[in-house]
Amino acid sequence: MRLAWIALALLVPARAFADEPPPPPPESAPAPAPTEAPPPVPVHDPDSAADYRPQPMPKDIVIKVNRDRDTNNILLVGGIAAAGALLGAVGVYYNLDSRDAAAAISPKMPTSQPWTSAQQADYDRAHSSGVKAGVFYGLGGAALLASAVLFIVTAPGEDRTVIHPHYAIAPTRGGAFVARAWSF
Amino acid sequence: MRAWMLIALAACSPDIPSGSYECGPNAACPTGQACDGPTNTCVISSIATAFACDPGVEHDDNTPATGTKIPQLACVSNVFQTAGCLAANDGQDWWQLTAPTGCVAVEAKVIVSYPVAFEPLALALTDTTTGAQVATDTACKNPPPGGEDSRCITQTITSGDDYALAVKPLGMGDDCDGTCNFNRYTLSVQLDTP
Repeated sequence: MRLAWIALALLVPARAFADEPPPPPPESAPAPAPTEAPPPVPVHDPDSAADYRPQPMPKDIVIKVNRDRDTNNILLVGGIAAAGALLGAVGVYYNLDSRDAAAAISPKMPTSQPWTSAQQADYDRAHSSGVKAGVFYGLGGAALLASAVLFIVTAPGEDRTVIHPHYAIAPTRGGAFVARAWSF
Repeated sequence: MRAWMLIALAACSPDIPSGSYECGPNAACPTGQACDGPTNTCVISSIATAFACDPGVEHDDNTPATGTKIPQLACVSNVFQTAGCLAANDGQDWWQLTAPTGCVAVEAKVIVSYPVAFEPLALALTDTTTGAQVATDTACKNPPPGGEDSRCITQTITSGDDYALAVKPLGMGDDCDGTCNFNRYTLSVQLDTP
């Protein structure tokens, strides 16, 4: 569809010629010269004729407009990301709990104290909380990764408008006519 | 700050070097460690050795009549201290004590201390002159340092009488289901005026 023509005319200044110098004086008693053959008549060649029709430009103009995410998509991706962060926070809690329990029973030197059920409880808690921390870190990381993938996969499309520019140049008396057109 | 967070989050596994803890009741030790018999400490399982009584402290002392004699103590004496050992399935060790004569009144203070790792021990004081058991142990007022337990007898005794002191397993089942039904001990005896 051709919607608009925007024309820009350029009037190329007429070709100016300088004054020709005066002809040289005729030579006296010229010898009769042999007759010369007349110049050849130009033949019209359709292949070498100038084409003034509008020609397409080598590159189109593409206008991209991204669509907005809908609310449900934002809530879904954000919810999964928030769940991942929450699971990660729970993992941190268990990590710190495990660390505290481990620190309570990790001596720097001989304690001279017996290994009692209290120490064993700390030992078990350190192990148990460490496992829970790993599980929650894993779940949280998976949720964050899923939200990132979902964010990319569910990215809304874009509206593309392609404009095909054309141009034309036509000689005019004393100049040229340049025109440019866009169709979309 | 970031480094601190990494360290804080990373160190969540107990790091318990070999020999850090005394063995707990029933020879309890951290995972991967075992109770070393000679030292009562938790060590790497591969280097733990079995419990064995020192031959120098084992005697033929399984009856009051054959009990090991405690040197004669004065009416007010210093603490007499000796080591003993109850091997597996050794039911009791007997010690003979003679109350000094010429005392207005005599009180015997007896303490047996032993590692908590193995079978708990008990005391009993018998007047062999009359054949009556005159005292059994109670909890001590001053508990021993960590890794040990103790039982005490504080009993007025009759001047000039012979007594037999039994050190025997408590028999409450804290013997690793029968695999640590032994223990070594330190026996302390002191006479004083009540």
